[in-house]
Amino acid sequence: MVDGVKVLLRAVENEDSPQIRRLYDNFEEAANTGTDFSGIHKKGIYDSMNFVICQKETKKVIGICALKNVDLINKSCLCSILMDFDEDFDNENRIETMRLLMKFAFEELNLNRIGLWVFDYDKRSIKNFKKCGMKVEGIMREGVYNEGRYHDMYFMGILKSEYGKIVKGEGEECEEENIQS
Amino acid sequence: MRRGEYTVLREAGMEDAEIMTSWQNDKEIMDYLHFVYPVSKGQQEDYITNVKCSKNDALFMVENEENVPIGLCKLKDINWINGTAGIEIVICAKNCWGRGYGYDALKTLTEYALMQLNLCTLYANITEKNEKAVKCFQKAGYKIEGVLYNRTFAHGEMKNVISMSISKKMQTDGE
Repeated sequence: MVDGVKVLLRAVENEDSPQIRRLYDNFEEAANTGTDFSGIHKKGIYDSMNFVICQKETKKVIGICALKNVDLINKSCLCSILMDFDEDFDNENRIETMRLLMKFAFEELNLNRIGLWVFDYDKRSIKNFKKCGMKVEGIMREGVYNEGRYHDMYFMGILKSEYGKIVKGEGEECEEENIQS
Repeated sequence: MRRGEYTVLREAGMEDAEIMTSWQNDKEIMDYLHFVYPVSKGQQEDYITNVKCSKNDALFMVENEENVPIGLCKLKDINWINGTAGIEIVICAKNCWGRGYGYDALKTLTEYALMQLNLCTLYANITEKNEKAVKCFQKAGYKIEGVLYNRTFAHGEMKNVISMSISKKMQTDGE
């Protein structure tokens, strides 16, 4: 038992389920936690859509990428790209892959936003994603442990409206410099 | 639970199988609907399980102010990418007919589907002779799209079906 002054926390018992269900029945309260009375919210979520990245001419596989946590109610998803080490130097492929993922997510899946986490020591990726029009939306301080110490993580994202401007040629590369190098 | 003015929508569960079975075996209630009857309680339970497992369907009980179940409504064939779904609604308790419960539940479910589930278009196929339902859907903002000829068989003949729909206004990109 975790004791407080006015409340305490205890383990969940089977007998608690009617009361728990009543909490979800309170629609306004449940909406604040992003859940829902009907369980439909889970139905609109797909784990991930995975792709293999190939070189167009040789059809050689050079990486994988995915849209993850595709949420077709909130119209959002996360994305990730993993490229072959040999091709690592080739930023152009990475940027094009990102742009293709955006095109697919916004134009085929009708999503509203794409986001991703990036580690603060991965400067090249941050630069690439900015080139694709993504903005740093927030920082998770000391979110990842690597090589003996904690590093910050940046959350980057792009909205459909921003993507629309880029496609029309009105968009500009994200110039904000709020990341210390 | 989603509250309308006179009705409450809640997710249908196994405990509703019995009352659903009794409704579905009542010819008067099912008159205008496309169901095949009779069904057993076991079949009804299977149906509830199927809907629960399906990513693209959702079944709700309609309750009155006293939390007595009076009917059913359903979102079916939800296409999450296109943002479309079929909507079905039936008030089964005969003492609740003609008292605005159907309209209230329809309005509540429509608003829930468009504004909470972020769907874009809801559609309903209504047997041509079911004028009350057409009026009810019109009152809730649905528009008649057209007539589908010879789409359903009942009472020994093919019947036309009226297709109705409502759409959320789409946001235009970046404007």
